[in-house]
Amino acid sequence: MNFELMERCAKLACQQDEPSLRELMDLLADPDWMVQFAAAVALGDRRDPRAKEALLRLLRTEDAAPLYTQDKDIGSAPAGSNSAPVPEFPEGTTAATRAAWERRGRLKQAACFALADIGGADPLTLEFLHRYAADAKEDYTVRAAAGRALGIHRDPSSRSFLAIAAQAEEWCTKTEAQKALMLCQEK
Amino acid sequence: MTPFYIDDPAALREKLARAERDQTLMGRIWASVRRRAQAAPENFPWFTPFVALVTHEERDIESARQAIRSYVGTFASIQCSLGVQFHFWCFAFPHARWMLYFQWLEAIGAWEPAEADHLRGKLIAFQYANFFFGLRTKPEPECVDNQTMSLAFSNALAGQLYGQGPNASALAQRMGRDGLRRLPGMLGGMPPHGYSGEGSTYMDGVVGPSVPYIVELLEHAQGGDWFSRPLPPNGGSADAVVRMIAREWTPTGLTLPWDHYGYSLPVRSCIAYGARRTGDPFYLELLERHANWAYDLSVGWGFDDLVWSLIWWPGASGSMLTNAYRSWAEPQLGAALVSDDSDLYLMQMWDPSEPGFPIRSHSNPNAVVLCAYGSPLTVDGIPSKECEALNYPDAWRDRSGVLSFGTHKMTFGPGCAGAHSVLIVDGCEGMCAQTDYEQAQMLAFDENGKTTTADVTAQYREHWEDARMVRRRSRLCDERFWLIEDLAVFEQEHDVISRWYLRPEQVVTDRGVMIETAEGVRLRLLPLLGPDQKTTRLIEGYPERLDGASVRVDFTQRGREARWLWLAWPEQTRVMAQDLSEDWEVRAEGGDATWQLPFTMPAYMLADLPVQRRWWYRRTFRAPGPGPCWLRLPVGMREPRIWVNGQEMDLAPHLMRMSLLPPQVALPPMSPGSEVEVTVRVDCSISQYGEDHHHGGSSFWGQPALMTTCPDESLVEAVFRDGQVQVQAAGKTWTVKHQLMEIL
Repeated sequence: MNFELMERCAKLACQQDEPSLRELMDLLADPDWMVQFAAAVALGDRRDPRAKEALLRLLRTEDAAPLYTQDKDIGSAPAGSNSAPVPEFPEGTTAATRAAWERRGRLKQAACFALADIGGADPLTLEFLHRYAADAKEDYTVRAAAGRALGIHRDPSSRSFLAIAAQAEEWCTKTEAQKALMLCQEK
Repeated sequence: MTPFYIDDPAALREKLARAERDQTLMGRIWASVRRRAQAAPENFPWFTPFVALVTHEERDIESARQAIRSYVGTFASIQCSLGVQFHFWCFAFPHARWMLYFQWLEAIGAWEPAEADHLRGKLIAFQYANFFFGLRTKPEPECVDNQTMSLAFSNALAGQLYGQGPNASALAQRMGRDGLRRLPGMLGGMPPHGYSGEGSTYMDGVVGPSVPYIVELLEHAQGGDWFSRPLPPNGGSADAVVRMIAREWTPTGLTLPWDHYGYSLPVRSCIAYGARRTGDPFYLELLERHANWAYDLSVGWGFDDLVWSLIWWPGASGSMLTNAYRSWAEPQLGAALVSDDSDLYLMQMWDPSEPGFPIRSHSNPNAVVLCAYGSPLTVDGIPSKECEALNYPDAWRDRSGVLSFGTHKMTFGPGCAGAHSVLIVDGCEGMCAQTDYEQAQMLAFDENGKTTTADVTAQYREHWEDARMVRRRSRLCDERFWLIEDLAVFEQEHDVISRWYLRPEQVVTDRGVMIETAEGVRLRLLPLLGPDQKTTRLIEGYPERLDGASVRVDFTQRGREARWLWLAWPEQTRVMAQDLSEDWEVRAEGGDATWQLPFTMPAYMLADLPVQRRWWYRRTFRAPGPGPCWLRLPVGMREPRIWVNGQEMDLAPHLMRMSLLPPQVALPPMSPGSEVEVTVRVDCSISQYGEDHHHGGSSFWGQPALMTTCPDESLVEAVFRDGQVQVQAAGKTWTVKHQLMEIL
């Protein structure tokens, strides 16, 4: 965890100059996922369309990562507890896999929101968002974010995907999809 | 820098010092917190920052520093845990308080700058990566519940603590912006009645403790009154939420078994805040006379409810007390009818259930809760894992990604109508709402006449199109018994069951049904109108708490019109003969030293004694007159054993129940006036985590007493004739006019 770089991302969110944009896009590929997360949020706050490609690249990388392959708890502690559990990762768990399990859908969610805030839906962005919203295998934190993003984009092509998401049992996914569906229909 | 939320630390110190000096209840509770934090700080980490703040003693400050260091030290190893990944709101709320406690220590100059920077960075980053992410997951503004409340609060607090001033954190500012924007909606998104729909347990354990933090934070950040002002979008207010939480306390010492989880011990900080903000003696009465102060189980997923109770508790107390339990009604929720002496309590609920899968907001149209003489008579809640009685075939769903890794089948049977004391039609126990609509309507409530009526036809009509009228009317009559009238009218004939879940010990009776609780309170349920045809079934494992079982009584009739008029006759069979709270000889296991202390809460809370798990208590008393007698012991004892004149008593039947209610142990026959020696061995929870996690430092609390039988008040006869109910018992006759509900 690199707090200074995370802070740097948040500070750069308020700027609009080219060098700081490049710096943020570089930080989006930082080895530390928390820094990546902070960078994705900051890029969304800047609403600069030049960041789209970097965000889509991040989504491609995340799609290829083993985010959801953790199949059991590897050690828990009660919320707020002062005693740390000793995690028992399955044999052969690599550092990259462990990092993927740690972040699960966080980077995808941040990228979805950033793409929504930047606006200007293009087919490539919509393709990611449609897939996330409709994919029952995605974490609900990502499905709900994709649904909200599609509601901001209001593209008619999203309706069928949102209709699927609106049937989800999980409440956040369903609620965001239903709202987005109404917005798409209004348009 | 001042410690956030503590505007005047000197006044707080003075309040607590005075209370301890004067030996008020507040003083005793403060002393119990201080003692535990000082004698075993590693076992009671949640108390240490507060004690450090109050005492300023270096050893207390170091204990608090260590608690925060060790908390921050858990981050790396819990990031992949089930909790942080899927239940991030549970971690957000305690994390917020650890951020706060870190700031308190900053405010008293407890950190070296380098260590402060290091810890602050870790706290902010963990908050950002998990709980800022979590807050953004929750739909805005629709999501108003305990989860979003804890997420919004933690983000807003991060902003307040670390997003201000020349060295402000940009991350904290970012979180603070979103959190602060959403906080007012957490109050205003509540309905005006203040009930979140999540059940008493979440209201009491999460929503309630959140409210003071939210109100005080908003008032600090934006000024003005954020407590009593109704807020958009729904007109909810903190005042209404706090009042509703207080209303969920019942005279049994337990919260209503409303919606999920069932009877629980209530917590106190929200009530203390209500007392502070309103000055209403109702709250102080709850705090001073009805609260259990040795209970401290994971409030807002942390163990600092005592700390915040002490902070919010008004300094001047003990006067202006009134009867805490009053009748109340909320047209969209339900109503409670309470006798003037609080001995008799009825609550009828018609709050809306969650469409589709009633996990939290149960389908319980017009269910009633009955309590008498401190004893719950009806039950509700959730079943044990082994209990399959509520696994209705149409009440299953697959859930994935929010509860655990992978997909799991789960039943929502406990949320269906069949799990409640309601009318069941054509055996449809899995009945629950499928869509959003107005499910119920309150038709009448008379606070002085102590009666209420509600119509729940809509909920039945969703399943039976020919439903014309489904209603229940409850009355508390002459401060002595209840009349409950059920009416179900359809176009076609149906099988109608009036279902009751009662405490499990049945007493043989010729008509109706009778139970006797382990506390010696009887309930006779007698149909004065409508058939007495019934089946009874012992339901092992439902509820999972209290007795761990219930008796389910199904009264049946068939027709287009089904009507019952119930007499619910409560009867106390025991009274307190002698208070045995004081003068116990107390000894720690393995030690020789003894002390004279009350047997009301653990010795190490009452005196400067080691925090030790096992204790022995001994005292003598004179046997009462002839007849059976019982020894009432405190609630919340663990691993207890008891000897009376050297003979060990069997406590097995009491063990499950005694976490919620004081056990009453039948004593062997004794000569009147003879000396009786009682020895009790009891374990106490000595830490908030570790092997004690499920107890969280909770220990026993109460007033031991000798109980004897009281005069027989059994029901002799009861009839309904010519619009009048006549009841005979204990040489008395009660005559009550009762006009049956009209069929419209």
